[in-house]
Amino acid sequence: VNHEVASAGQAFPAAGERSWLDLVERSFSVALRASAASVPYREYLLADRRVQLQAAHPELMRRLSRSFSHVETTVTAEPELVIHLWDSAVCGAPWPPTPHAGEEQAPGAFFYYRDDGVQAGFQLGTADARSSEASEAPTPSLSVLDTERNVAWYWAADADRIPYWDEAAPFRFLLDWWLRDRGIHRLHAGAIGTPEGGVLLTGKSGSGKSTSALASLESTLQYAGDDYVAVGVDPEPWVYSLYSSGKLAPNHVERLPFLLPALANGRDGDEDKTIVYVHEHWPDDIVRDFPLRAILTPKIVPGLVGARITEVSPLTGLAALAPSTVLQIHTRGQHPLEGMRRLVQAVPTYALELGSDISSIPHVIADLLTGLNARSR
Amino acid sequence: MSGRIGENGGIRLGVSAPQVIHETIDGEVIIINLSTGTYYSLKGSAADVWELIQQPAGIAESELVDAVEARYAAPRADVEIPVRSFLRELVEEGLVSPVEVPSDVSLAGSRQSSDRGAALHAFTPPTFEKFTDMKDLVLLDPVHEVTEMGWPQRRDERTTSAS
Repeated sequence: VNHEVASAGQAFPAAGERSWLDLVERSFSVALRASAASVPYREYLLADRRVQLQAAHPELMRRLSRSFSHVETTVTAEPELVIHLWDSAVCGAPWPPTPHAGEEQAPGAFFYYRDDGVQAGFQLGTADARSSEASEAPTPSLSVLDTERNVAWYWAADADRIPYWDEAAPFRFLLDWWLRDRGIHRLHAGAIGTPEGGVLLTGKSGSGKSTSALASLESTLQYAGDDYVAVGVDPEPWVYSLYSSGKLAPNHVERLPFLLPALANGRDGDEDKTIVYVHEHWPDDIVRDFPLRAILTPKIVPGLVGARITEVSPLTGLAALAPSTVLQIHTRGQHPLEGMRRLVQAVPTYALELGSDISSIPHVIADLLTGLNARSR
Repeated sequence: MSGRIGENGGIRLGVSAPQVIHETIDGEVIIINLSTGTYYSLKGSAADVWELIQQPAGIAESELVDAVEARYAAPRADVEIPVRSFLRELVEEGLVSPVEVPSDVSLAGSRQSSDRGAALHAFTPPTFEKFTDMKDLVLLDPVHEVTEMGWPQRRDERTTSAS
């Protein structure tokens, strides 16, 4: 779908004029003034870069920083990126400028703007086909990155209606834009391993990515993510954990019963997925980053018992990794396809065939890694 | 979109940028149509055709047939119909469309670069494998590139500016 975003007469401010960003900043400062407490801020190491979150409301900070707890840092230094968080419903701030959505009704519709100094994305969140009750409809949200000053803003119309998938993996667009300028790609993939080396788990939702990643929690391997991770290609392929939130389809939880006490949003209701904040329950089983040794595409094989690994062509690996990654980036041009192509050419690619014995998954991956780590020494 | 008429009278075709992105590994191609969420895998002669389309000036249908014929040293009668119908499929899928030829690009030059050394394999008709399992990603979250006229504007200005 490529609708014209039609509106009359309101042109983007001329180059150098910051009036639009001024309105974004003003909305945030109104929220700050309404907040009695001093500005809560926290700092994180995301892909080895210092990112500071400043929230106008402590509850907003708590919810949007929860999946970053494993990369929080207390070392004080100049942040490389500052992200401001606020909303209008709870914080009482006026709406920042948003695009005219015209007739567009799709709840996830994404409006993207870019110029030399700014990248901005606005996502609709009105009446939602994915949610049965209107009151649970996801809130509209705005992501703005000032690429010159390395300052960003994340606004939601109503913080109480931020959907669970955004809470589990916040600032996906902001991190995408900002990290890409630094040679790091946010990929739709899981990742497990040890500081010595690990693997990416690629494939669409339902392919066994999350099950394979979360199964590592009961093994010698550690968890770096099961849905989105950051990956650098140069000077060598390197994986960075972004979010310590695991997402599981409810019917997959039975296969990993040890997760049951850790489910964050229960197993009832209409939620598509249940969330596990891994760091809150298995703080020692998370790995922040590792050299990438292989790319694995899980595939459920009916009738198979123990998991097994077979080599596949680099193109097969790329086909499992690239489409879901680029289609979720929501911007044309500037896509990471070339980076992903170099990645699948730099490390071997395998099919990870999954059988009924889930506990065998981390073992076959650990065995593979033993060989690959030894080879790269 | 209006294609510039090539010397031999055909519309020049090229990859439909920016909504179509592609990469080649070991002679195999993956193509992703960002507008539809559909992706494709091309091998053998299909990957060759895709490579031939990557000319700065695009390629005319007849030039493409010439180039495939030369590359495979195959009889024209065997090559022409499969290549033309494959090209038509690429157009129907929105992967290939008429290109504007920049005035500084020589059409003759593009033709020369299209006949490389002959392929080692016998010619088999080009086909693609099509995957639609990611379509929902695009249907659920349609993407709109916002033009200068559409954003930004203040929310309370919407009603006035729309009237």
